[in-house]
Amino acid sequence: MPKILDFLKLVVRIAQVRPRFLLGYAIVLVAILAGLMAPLFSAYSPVTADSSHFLQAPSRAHWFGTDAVGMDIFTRTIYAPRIDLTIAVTGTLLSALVGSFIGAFVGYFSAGRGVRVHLSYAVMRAADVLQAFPVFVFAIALVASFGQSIETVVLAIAFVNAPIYLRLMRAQVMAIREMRYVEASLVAGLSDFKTILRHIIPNAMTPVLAQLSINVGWAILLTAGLSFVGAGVRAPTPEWGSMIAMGFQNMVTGQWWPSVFPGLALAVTVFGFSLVGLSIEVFADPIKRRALVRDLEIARRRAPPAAMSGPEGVLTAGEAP
Amino acid sequence: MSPILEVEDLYKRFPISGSRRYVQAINGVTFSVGAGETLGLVGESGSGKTTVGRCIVGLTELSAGRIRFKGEDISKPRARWPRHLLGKIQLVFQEPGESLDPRMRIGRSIEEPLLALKVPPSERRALVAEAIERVGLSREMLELYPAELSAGQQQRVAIARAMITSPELVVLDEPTSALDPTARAEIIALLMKIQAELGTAYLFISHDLSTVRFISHRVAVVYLGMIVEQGDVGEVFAAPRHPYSAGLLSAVLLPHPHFSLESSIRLEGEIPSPINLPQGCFLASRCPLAIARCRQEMPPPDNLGGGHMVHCFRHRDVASMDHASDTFAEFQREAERILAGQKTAGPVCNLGGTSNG
Repeated sequence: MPKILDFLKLVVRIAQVRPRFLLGYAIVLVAILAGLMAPLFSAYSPVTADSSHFLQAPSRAHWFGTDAVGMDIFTRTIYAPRIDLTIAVTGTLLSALVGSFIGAFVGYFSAGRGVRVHLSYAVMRAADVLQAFPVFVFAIALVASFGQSIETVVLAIAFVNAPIYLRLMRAQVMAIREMRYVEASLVAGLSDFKTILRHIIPNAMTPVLAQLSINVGWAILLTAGLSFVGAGVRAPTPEWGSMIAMGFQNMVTGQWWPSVFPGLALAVTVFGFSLVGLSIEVFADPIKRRALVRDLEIARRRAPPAAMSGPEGVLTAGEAP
Repeated sequence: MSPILEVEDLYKRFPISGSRRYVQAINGVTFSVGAGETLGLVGESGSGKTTVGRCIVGLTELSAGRIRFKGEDISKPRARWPRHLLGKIQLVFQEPGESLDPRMRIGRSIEEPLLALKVPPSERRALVAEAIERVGLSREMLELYPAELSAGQQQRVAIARAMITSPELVVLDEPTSALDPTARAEIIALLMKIQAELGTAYLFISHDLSTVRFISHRVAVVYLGMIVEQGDVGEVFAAPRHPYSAGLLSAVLLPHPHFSLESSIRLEGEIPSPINLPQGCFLASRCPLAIARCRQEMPPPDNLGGGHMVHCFRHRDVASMDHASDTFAEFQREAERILAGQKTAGPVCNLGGTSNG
């Protein structure tokens, strides 16, 4: 138990020196909890129209108002993470897995000789072609050719993001394979494969992890965007992009709530994931982490000594004093 | 004493991307290292001495030539070396910090060579503890990360790691160049102590002549990927027979007003490009003694006896021109005398072994 307590203390102290990290995690947590526990917060169904109560302004009965067919906006907004987050996270994980695996391979073999170099070259040019298309256009094309479904949206996200991880991992691996400790490992007698597992991948993962969270944010945006133009999730499934699309005709006549609330939820969630990505980058990068530990130390010295006893062991384990 | 490492006519050229030309890094290097012996490999930056070391440990593929370790051919990719040679040759890099994985605790870095040998975990722990104490660090440091150590301590860790498999040959690639003078002296003394205890042979690659004079038994002077002179360290330093060796020695400043290294041989200009190697002797364009013949043909090795070899047509003239004495050794003695006056501990490189390096 004391370990958990120490960890919580550490969280509090990090939150004091880096409040935006706390904000990021709070937003992400709220989005996830809202999706999971949506039925507890709302008595309405997210997909049932009520034509007698359409386009009602926010009120005590309908906190965010109702849309053109009388569905409760608040209910739909908190149900939406179920769809948006699931699609975004699945798509991003898929792209990271495939992209970084190929990227590590390409990176390790791009500086040698023989057929493997040419293969690496071909893979990179294929990635160029993939990335040359505007992301959105490419995703729409995928949806158009594979049919409109949640799986297709996931696939589209995985496809358009995979080159990012491919490049990221490749660049990392190419830099790291030249490192002295990689050569030292080879001289010590470890095989290429073991060296990649022991030294290259752990040292190459940091930017991938940071990118992951940032990318989930982008992926949510892409999911919403596809749904907005009608290429993603179909109404009445509660999804932020399609909700914005459904409501935006009403904006001109003064009923702003059907679009604004899901829009805000979307913006805040994407922002939250970006902050989490930022924090992962700081925790995982030894140099940035050192700056954080230094700030923690400064904060500790400023605080009255009794209030703060220093349990930053989790972080300082990898740090110079 | 039969040599444990024999390098024979080693060539290495690196292709220049986008061109049909090559960087000719090593151009016919032949030398050997005896068991328990230290061979100093000296030369300017870019002379190819590091590449020689990398070829020996199998990090760089050679273009031509043969490398034999204890009679077995190791001039092929490391993956195809005989299994029983695993751990017999180790390498210590110049950059101590970069040769340790920043994410790995010191203990895990040190034990790595044992993983390749598939030593069981229980034995590994004992060997790691022994290894870190041998280099004068405490066992507590096994739990630290490389960033928490000083450069000198990091280099000790790298040495502990190299020594853990009881190698018969360690290639030391400028192990002291990145260190301050105190740490350098400690590392050198540590290496000599380990050699005395374990009988490890060293290939000591360095541009620091005073260090080489101190640690080596024999020395080979590398110029543009060629050994121009090699022999007993005292002999080469006292009476260099190649103009390049003489020029190199005279370029060193010793930190003592009475010792200056005068030589009548001054080298001019820059080291020629290894892409377009000159015809004849590589030094001809810079050598004050060069004659027409030097510009046309490469001088063959001339054996002066006692293992002293020199590639120069005019080495007799070098000998008669230069009345150099082994100033380095004199300086060494003087330094020891001064230090002995200060405290009773004898050698210059006194090593308690526990200093912060």
